[in-house]
Amino acid sequence: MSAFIDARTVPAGTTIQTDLAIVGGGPAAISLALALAPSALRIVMLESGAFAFDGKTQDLYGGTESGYPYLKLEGSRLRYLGGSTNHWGGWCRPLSEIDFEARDWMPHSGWPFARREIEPYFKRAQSLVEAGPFIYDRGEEWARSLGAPLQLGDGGVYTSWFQFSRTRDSVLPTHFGHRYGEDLKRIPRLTPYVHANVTGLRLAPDAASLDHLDVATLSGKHFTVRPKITVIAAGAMENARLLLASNDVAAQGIGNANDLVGRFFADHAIPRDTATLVVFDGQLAPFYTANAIQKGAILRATFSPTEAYQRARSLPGSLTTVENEIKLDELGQAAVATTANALGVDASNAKAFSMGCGLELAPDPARRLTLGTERDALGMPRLNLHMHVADSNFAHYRETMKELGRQLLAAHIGMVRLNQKTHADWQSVMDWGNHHMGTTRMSADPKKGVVDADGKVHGVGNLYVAGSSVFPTYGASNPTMNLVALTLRLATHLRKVFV
Amino acid sequence: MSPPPKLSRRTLTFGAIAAAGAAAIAGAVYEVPRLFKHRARGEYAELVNRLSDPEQAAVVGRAIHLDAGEESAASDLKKRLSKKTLQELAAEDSLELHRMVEADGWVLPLAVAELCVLAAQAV
Repeated sequence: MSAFIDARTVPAGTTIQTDLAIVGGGPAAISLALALAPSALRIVMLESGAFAFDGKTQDLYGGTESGYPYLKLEGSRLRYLGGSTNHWGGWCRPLSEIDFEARDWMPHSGWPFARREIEPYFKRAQSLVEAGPFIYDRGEEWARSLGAPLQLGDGGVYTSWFQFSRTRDSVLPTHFGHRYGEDLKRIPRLTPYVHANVTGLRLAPDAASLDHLDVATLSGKHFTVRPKITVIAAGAMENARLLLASNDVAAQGIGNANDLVGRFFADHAIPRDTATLVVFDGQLAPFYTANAIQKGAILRATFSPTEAYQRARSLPGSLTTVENEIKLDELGQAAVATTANALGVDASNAKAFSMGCGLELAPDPARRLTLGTERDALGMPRLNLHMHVADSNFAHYRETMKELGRQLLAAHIGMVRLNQKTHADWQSVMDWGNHHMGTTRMSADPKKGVVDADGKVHGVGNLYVAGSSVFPTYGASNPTMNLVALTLRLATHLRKVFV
Repeated sequence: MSPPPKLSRRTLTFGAIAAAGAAAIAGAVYEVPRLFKHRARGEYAELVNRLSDPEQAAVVGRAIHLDAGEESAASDLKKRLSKKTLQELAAEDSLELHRMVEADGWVLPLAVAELCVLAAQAV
């Protein structure tokens, strides 16, 4: 058992030998440490922050943004134990089969393995994020006593289900640092450090293996960690930053021989008020507009394109939520009355709701993190994010929503208005999920990916990457539960490597 | 206390007739314009009057641009409505994504959209 060690108390110049170093203290890092707890490995975990928000530590995340408007780099993540689970919303849903497939209509898409490779880890991941029973495919049955989903009939859109990390006392959803801090202390051979910033990944002279990690504190201490294997799990921005900035042996940065590190940055676009849903009879089950707690699960119904429809129409993933009830303007009232009457349906009790969505962006090498010229308090180059969002992403989503509208009409139960059309329209309602992904993408081919199918950096024998930075295609599901599942798979692999 | 004054039968009859007349005039003042207001006129009237409220349809129609134009829409609709009811056509169009038309974002069956466009001309 080891309490957290404040890295500021480590004597300068110390070298710490260990089997495994985990860089970071977010959901991937903590899941990996927990999964390896029963092993005989000596593990060092290096967390930059401590147990609560600290402005000076958070400032290490600062950078610049260019291109399509995006969030401040220091504002879209949190740098202390638990990482970005300290501000997540708890939305959980496993990636779909199609999310893993290489699709000829979506350039750069596809994982080096199918969904079945990660499936065995979903239930354990579900347990770690504390999202209750794993019932994503049985939401309708689970929530039956609360009402029936809209009967959309045949078509490309169906009612899909999110589950939520649970709310406990004052802790809104599972904050990994708060929830698992004591568990980390109880792992016999784990030594977790706080205030420990990894500032360099130092390769051996032949560049084929990692020799050691440079660690620094904001108080000015410097020491070294020399692990047999290192896993960087510092988030999709910091993972790329560490690889790019560690350029003393490999001039382009580690794993960057093919200029891929930092490219393909992704997030889920979550534009608001994307469409209006009208239900002719005014009856909409409560699980569409708010989370429903039912038999130990927290559920929310959303609209998704079916995988068959995505394949047939070359569409990316999306998850559309129903939000608040709204009043229709004169045109809206006329459209509803005229259409319902033409269909022979009574719409005198019709209700209208605003909808929002989580939208998968197509992989795009132009969406890119690079090192800027400014440096942070530890001398690390700050990042620049160049954001690029093609209008085709929104045109594709619009097509999905138009299909939803068609299905509602065909079922004689409602209709849809597509509220955004132009580039300016979409930009005016844009928000982001803070779901950073893709910057150290996974591929079996070193020319197409930074890490291989196990998460090992191509060309470096003992360096791995964990977290959503390795997602080569993103799906529309929120990444936390999926990155935890992927990390549990990595733990299985590492146990074999050490044997 | 003196008893209430008695009304003659003649006074009562005149009063009743006057009240009925006033009600009829008021009703006519309110209803007659409403009747005319909801009826379309012109070359598309026969088609447009299949809608229960052409004026509301006209509001929708003003937000639609049909690539094929109104004459073509009217011609197609005449043919289709000679064989099926509007309700049947609207349901039929709703089975095909390419037969959906947008009116300022509202997704409508083609037949409804075409009638709305014609309503905008006729009302």
